[in-house]
Amino acid sequence: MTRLIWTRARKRAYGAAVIALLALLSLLMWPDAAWLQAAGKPTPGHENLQCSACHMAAPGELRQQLQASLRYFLGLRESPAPIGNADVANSACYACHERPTEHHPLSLMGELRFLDVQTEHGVHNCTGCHQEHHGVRVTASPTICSNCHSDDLVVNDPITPDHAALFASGKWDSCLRCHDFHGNHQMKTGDYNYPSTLEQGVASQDVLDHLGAGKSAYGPVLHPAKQAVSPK
Amino acid sequence: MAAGYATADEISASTGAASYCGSCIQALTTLTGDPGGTPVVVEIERIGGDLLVVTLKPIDGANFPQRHVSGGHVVLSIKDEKGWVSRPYTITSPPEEVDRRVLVVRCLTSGRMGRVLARSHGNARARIGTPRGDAFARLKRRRATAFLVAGVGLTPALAALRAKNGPPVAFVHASFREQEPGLERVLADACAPRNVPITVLNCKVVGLQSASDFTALARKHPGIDWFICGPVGYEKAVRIGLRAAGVSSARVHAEQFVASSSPGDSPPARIRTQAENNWAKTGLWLVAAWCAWAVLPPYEAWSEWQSSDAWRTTTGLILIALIAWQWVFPSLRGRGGLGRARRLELWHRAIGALSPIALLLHQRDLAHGLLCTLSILFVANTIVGSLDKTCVSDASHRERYMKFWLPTHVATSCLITALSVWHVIMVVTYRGGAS
Amino acid sequence: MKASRLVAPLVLLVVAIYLVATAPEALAASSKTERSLTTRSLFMVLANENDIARSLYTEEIVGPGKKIGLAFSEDWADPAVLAGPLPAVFLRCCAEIISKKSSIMLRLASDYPIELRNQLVGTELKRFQEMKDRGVPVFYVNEDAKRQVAMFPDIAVSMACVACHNSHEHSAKSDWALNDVMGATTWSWPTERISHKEALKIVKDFRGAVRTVYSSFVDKIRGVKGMPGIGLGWPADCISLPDPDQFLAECVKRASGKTLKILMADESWK
Repeated sequence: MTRLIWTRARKRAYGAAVIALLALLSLLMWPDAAWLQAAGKPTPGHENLQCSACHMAAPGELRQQLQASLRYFLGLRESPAPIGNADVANSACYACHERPTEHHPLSLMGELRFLDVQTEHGVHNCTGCHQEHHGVRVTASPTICSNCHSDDLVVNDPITPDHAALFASGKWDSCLRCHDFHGNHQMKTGDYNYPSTLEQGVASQDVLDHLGAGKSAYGPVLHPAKQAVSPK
Repeated sequence: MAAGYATADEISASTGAASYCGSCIQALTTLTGDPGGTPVVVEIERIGGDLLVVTLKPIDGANFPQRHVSGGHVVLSIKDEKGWVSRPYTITSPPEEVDRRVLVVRCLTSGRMGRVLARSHGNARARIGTPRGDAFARLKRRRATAFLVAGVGLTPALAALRAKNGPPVAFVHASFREQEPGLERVLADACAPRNVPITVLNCKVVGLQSASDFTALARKHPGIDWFICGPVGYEKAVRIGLRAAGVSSARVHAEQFVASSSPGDSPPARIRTQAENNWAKTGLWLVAAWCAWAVLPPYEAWSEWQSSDAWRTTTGLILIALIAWQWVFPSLRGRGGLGRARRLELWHRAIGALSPIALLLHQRDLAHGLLCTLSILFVANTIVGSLDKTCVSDASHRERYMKFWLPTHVATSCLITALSVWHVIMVVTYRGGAS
Repeated sequence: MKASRLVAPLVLLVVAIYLVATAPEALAASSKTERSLTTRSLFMVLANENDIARSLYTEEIVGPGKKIGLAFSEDWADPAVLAGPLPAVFLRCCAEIISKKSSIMLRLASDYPIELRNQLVGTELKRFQEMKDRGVPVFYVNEDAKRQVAMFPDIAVSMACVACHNSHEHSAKSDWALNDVMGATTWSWPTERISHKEALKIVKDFRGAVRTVYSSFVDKIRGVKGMPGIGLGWPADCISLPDPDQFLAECVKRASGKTLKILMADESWK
């Protein structure tokens, strides 16, 4: 086999390829075009975030990380070592979204009695329900409440229809019409902290829009995110 | 030329060049710029499909200055926009006919001479060189010869049948790929006066003749000579078959039609094979399927299934392997390994055509930014690959097409490879939430 | 030998040199090889710190506070409610804070809780019964979650605990008595051992959480008419509350001795 033969046609072809690759390299190195490298559209409100806001550098330098990964692969190390960037931890989310009132704190979601739900839905991590790069606020199903609350019994139930009826009919998608998950919105209606009928609550489509990328359905926020991020 | 020979015909006569196979005659014509020979008027009779009976008569109405021998060939030269194009042809008219020379030509428009003849009107002007060669030189005139011919290779059989003092013909066994009524009629007309038995096979109906068919034929006719003229594959099958029947090589004679071209000519345009055509269509259909998937709403169950890390890793590795494999063919070809490269070419086409399936299995949606670009480039490259040069039949158009096609295909392939490597790095170094 | 055949071995050699021969020190793994503390000791330290903080809060903030008109409620976090956290709620708030900083988990639960979410079920209930029967903390491994777990009894050390639970409208039991095991405080951690550095960080995080929660309470009532003063003469004057630093300093003072004793008794020193 001889070395590569450079015919005129081949030179032209690979010349075009080199130009295309240089253009790609420039694009990859241009800071303002970093959004092109994301895995998907940002969550509403995260448009102005840099990658490093959530993707912190993994401990060690690249060689150490590669070496640790190789050792893990060969069974010489207990745990894998992330290469490049560490897993996105809850602390990255808390940097902006920590609030004093939280109806579903991660300390509760992380309790061992919820292990099944943790395994299936990752509820002990923010990213279990709020996966980034999907262009929506919430990636979990709106019926996720059924995983923990299916045996709940509400004493002196003030709502119509009552919770038992709603649970029995499997209307788990109606929970979010009256209860905002994190308790970060003012839902008070009359004397109650929550609406007492579904009609007083948020419309189903509005809930779905809110969980997607649409308008916020729940009214004013009690504790806004620490960094004010606004769409471009 | 230094000795004063100015035309291709003169050089051929003095040196013997182009007197054996004739394949260098175009080179000589291009070199000298003048084919030489006798000016003739060309009369063309289309006998069906791409077959022509070309009758050449001297312009001045006189006889040709030299007679030819049965089995000889002559160089026909016609002018086109690039200059003179010269090709050798077996003379099928008998030597006794001194006022004309009749050729049977398969007019392939992928070839330069074919295009010229296809465009020719009645009474076109041409040149015809000095007759040369004697395909029947080795035939023993006391022994009958069976002519095993295929396609336009029947011209030596015609020459033998039509010549008064030609070799005795035992029978003619002609194989044609398609129904060729024109050739069959010409052959039957030539066999009739001498009552030569003739068998005509339509390979589309009976299948291609194999070596064992010729073995059986040879066993039925011992003690004769055999003359073969046809495509290389046909000749090979006949030789193997005859050898298997115990026929000595001294009794096997052949005439081969060798492609004639020069550096100035475009190479004969390779026609797309059926398999290549099928793969190209497959690729385009799969691209259409991918486009439909991109537009239709996502199927939830599939989306969930594709979200698993194990699935994405596995399908991702398959895609990377496909992309890496696709570089083997151009790498071999680039290093001049044409033989091995040619064997891999169909694989290259097949993998390219099927690659949209691998992409469909791997990606959940069109993604965003550079990932979306990668998907689109991947699919576009399948289209580009399916529309390669073999879908352009005209050789000169093909050359122009390649000037656009090759850089597009190579640049897209390089971009896809680079973006794939980038994607793998991003997947490894940017992880999602903790488990 | 053809040059092209040397390429692959050369590349492998370069990679081997890069990754192995000239590699820097390996990344530390959470491994048994490192000198470390047993998780059991950590749990015992945390249980001690927790007991001290809770008893200080219950006996010297909630008890006296109620007497001078302070309210303590589960809804204390509601801005409209002028109240401090109940002791269990105080601890739950601490749990929320420390869970954000590390993998340590803290849970308060009971076989007769006020809130159903704190009901002990399944394996936890079984272990709780075991703990009640043996009268000592229980240490075990939750195989499904792959976590080390320690369950410590919550004992009714003060009549304030008993009275409140007995009279609460949602309480599942109304005849609690002093020194009853009212529930369990459960700690869990992923590994069997923990580095000293990480263990001390967790203790520090817990103390910081105690200060933060107490500080939130104090900030609510500071300057409100009718509310006691903060930090002025506590504890001597019996009418003011400690400021956050004073509160923490007192917790530390009371807990440190035993904390150090537990740390020193750990088998990692042997």
